[in-house]
Amino acid sequence: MSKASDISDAAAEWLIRIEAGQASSQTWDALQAWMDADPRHRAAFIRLRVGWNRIDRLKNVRPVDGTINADLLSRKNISPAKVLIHGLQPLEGSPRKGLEDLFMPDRRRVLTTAAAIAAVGVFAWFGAYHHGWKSYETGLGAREKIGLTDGTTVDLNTNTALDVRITDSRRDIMLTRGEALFHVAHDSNRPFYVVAGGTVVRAVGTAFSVRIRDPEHVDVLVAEGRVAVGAPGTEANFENPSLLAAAPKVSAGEAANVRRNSVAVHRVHPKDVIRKLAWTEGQLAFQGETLDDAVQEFNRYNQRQITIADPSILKVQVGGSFSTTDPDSFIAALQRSFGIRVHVEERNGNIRLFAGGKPP
Amino acid sequence: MSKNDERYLIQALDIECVLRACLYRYTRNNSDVDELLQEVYARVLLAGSADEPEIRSVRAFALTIARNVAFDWLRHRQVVPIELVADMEALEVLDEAEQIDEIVNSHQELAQLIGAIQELPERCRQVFTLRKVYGYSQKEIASRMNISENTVEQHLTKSARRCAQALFDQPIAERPATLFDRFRRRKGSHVQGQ
Repeated sequence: MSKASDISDAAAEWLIRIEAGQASSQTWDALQAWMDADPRHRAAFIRLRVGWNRIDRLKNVRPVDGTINADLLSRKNISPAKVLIHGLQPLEGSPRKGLEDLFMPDRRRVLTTAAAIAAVGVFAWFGAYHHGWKSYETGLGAREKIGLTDGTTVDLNTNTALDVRITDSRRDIMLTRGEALFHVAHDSNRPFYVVAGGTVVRAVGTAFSVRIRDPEHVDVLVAEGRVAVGAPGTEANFENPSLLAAAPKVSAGEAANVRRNSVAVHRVHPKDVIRKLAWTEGQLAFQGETLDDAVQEFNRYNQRQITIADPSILKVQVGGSFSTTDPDSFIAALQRSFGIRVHVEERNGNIRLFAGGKPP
Repeated sequence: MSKNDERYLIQALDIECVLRACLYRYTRNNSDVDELLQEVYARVLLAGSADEPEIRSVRAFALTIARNVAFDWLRHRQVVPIELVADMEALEVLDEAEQIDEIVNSHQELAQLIGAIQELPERCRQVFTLRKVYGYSQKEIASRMNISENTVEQHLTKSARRCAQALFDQPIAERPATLFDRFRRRKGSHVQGQ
């Protein structure tokens, strides 16, 4: 019988070998064999892996100016006592000075989004009103909850950027990329607008999430209350939010799929509303989604991308709850439940999935 | 894949300090606690793949398993009078249930984590920072810091163990004193009640 500390040591070595992202299929098989040999092995590995993934929150301390400092977490730079009171470097007060300030890997996406937004004319609108705006953003795999001065709270999902301006007469949010959940403080004198690509959502006091899939494809999910949604290309757009009175309404327990000139509203079971908002707890919850969709969800949160190499498994239905930044537990579950084979590319740690039985 | 069989274990990790406190009360020895804790986790993990109705309170379930594991261990040892065990068991149900709600505090968890990272040797901390905060690859870190990839791996292995410990085994404020006091207090009132 092996000793506890030996098992922990071995589990930590496995974890680091795998997390390097360069493990061969043989290494994965060997890890699987080690875990199958004793449930304590697997439990010890899961414990370390969950811890290792959970500390990705530390990415939030990264300075926005892009400087690299290996001593960022030293006693001189960060004090546990302050973290205890304030948490990790609240995003508030980290204004963007320009594209130079953005973290490198995100830059291309931002430029693409900016170009797309410019194309539909938001750019000019944004420029004219820039005064008084405050910017918030999260990196890949991060999420953040912020409180606004009007009492509204906003949850930012992975790789999300938004700007906020609150005045005496209105509250405006510009969601430029990603996904956010708004718990809007009720204030009938100050309507609350979210502009996402060409879509505009108007609320008074509700809870709803908005996700930009691309500038002309936006999803809105309403958990409480009711919002008005103006589609790009219609009169009720960001330039004429007052015309929203006639725009389609989306109520609690409904979701809208917004495209150019159209708002398609459908019902969502209360359980599914909670499931779709599981990201606010760092979770992805699947229930009958296709493997294709599930993989795309994971890829939003992680540098290491998963691709499906066999079309035959694209539509496999999956279920279960996983940590957003822990694709390995998802992969492990796929291996166990469907015999799906995994190939990890040595170059970049990306993961390719194959139907069971087929050599990678 | 209708269920993710790791789900119970992942929840149980959040009360590792309570599970440890429970095990410690029987063993009075930290290295035995480490051994027994792994057994507890293994059983929790297996429960997740069993074809049983969903467990509602995973935390209470994990505590029950911890007590069972500790009992098995004690019986095997035959060193503790059985009435003491029974007495202790009655106390734990209350004590630990009270503590569970007190632990989950994300700022506290982060502060604990930062503290643990700052206790790592300097090089180890730097390697960790480059990997986890900045996302450098192991190879890039090796060339940047002019050390071998193997050394990078060793530093990361050490920090992974330390971080898991900091995240899951957070000391509950004043744990020893509180538990000891409660033990004495309850024991006293129990005697008076008779």
